Amino acid sequence: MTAAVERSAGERLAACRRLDAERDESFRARMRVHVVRNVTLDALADQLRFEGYQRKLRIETTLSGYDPFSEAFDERAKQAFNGSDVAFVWLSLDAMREAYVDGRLSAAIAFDHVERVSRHALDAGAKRVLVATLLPPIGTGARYRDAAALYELNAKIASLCEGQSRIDLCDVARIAATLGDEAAFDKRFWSLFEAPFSQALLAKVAASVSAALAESAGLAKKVLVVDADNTLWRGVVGEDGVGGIAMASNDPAGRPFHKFQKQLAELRNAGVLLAISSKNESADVHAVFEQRADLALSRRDFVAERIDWNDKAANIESIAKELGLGLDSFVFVDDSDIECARVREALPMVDVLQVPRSVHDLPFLLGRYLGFPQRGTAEDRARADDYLAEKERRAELGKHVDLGSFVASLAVVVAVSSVDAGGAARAAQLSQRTNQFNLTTRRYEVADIERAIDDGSTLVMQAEVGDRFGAQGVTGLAIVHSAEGHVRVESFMLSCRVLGRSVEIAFLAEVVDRARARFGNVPIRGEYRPTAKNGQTKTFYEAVGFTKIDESSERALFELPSSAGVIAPDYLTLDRRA
Amino acid sequence: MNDRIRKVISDVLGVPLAAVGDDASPKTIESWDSLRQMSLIVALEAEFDVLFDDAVVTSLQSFGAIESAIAKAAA
Repeated sequence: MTAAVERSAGERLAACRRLDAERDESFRARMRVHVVRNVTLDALADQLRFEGYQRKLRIETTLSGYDPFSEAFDERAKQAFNGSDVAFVWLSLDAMREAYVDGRLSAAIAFDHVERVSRHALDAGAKRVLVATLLPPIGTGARYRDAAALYELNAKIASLCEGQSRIDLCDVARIAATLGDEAAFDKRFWSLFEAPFSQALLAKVAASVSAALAESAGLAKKVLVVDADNTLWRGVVGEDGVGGIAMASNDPAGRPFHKFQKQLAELRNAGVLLAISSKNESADVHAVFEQRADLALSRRDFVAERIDWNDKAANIESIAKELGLGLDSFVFVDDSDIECARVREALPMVDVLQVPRSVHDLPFLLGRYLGFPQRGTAEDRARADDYLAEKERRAELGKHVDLGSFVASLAVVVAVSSVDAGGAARAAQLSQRTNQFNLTTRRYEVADIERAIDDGSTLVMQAEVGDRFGAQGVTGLAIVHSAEGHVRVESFMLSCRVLGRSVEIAFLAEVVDRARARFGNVPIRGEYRPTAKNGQTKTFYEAVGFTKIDESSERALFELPSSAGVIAPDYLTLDRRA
Repeated sequence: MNDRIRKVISDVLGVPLAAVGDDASPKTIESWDSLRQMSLIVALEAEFDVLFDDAVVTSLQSFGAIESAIAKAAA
């Protein structure tokens, strides 16, 4: 066991107890995890609670019995799965006798068990399943004779997760590898309590599971703001000159920085937005981008830059404003103690990662961090390009006096269609990530969207937005539900990337038309549920012709009479699809 | 030392400090079950920087037993 985890075990629990006493409102979400296990894993519940609190989540954990395959299908187990936000399937080969044939591990049998219990968890009502890769039995050492079967088993588990949007991987084998085999097991507790995994491993697995839950709750980070000198490269460009800084893969001084740049490029391609914040003359930093061929990133990889002598916390706030994103979706990387301390103090919601004292540790900095999204969609990968196009749009906006002529000049097309099974993952993701233009802020899992699609009294619609600067993909979601004598808009949201172009009005106009085509010419009711972030939508319904009919502190209710519709602006094109 | 033991038991088992008397044991504290026993061992070993003998780990079921085990392990 590592000293750090040991030393804090009691303190961690005490911290949890203090937070347990707080009201639910202090947390971003309350979530339930049901753990399918076959060994003593009970300490995981405390670790999950603690790691959840680190991410403003209240996590409650229930555990299966020790024989999950025979128990999984009984009524009590069904109830445990039903309504759980995540079923976490973490099995130990030490207690999986059924997976052995003539004393040898059978990857096929073990996988069959894992797959069946995972699919059953979904059928029984778990919103999502996380499946752990398996570790070798305790004490196997470097010459494990079933190693090939174990690799095959874990590869099959990884493929299962790739192919199924509601089943995701929790790569416990990789987590254990970062600790080292012997540190991942607890020899003494295994002998005495049949609890094979060390506190250190449980803590890391709990961190990984709670990061996945945070992503489900819409709390994944979206933007990485990075310093330049001694962070992107070694040296200070203003003093050492463009040629004097190091960042080449064939230069011992630059190698860790080259690796770090490559990792930033990977993050960007996975949909994380990169921005630069550097105290420098901007001409010096721009010269590095223009003249250093060994730089693995281009200026276009960064959606925003603040290269000046201003306070970095103020600069991060201004980047958040420019991108239209909340500060709690930001991560900041810098080498300076002072800058890191300043941002931590001024912006506690920003995660601050400091460049390690030893630059050789730099390639490990991002790998240890769990705040960025794990589950990517095509929209994610295109996001950075979108923001660049957005910059160009703003430049265009400067040339126009009114919104109508600006939007007309962009040639905006809003394509509205029904969400089908293939679009459920993106729809769920939008609901998890959209905070600002979101009237009710209801979060959906893929399972919820699939249920809504199949429900005859519900319509699930999406908006894809494009203009002459590029296609922005699926950026709007509406869910309406037929109730007695009216249609209720359960959810209506648009990604902030497409706001300011009247897209929301065109989308709602089409949603109202489709709802009436399906459910009859009835009044449409819309709700506004205030959150810390969606203030801009407070007056939306009234602005498009609805009337307020009820109001409490939790919500305001608006109605559009059956005689009225919402009129789509004529300066953008509505493309009505099936 | 007794106050530190009391604090660890209170933190791990989730009971007020005042409920951890010198006679504390699974009989007087309901949440002191065999699973919590593991958490208690981890927390006590961390707090006092000791490693208990195997025999002690499973038999550490009263305030007095903890006190003497720590004294012995630290010696």
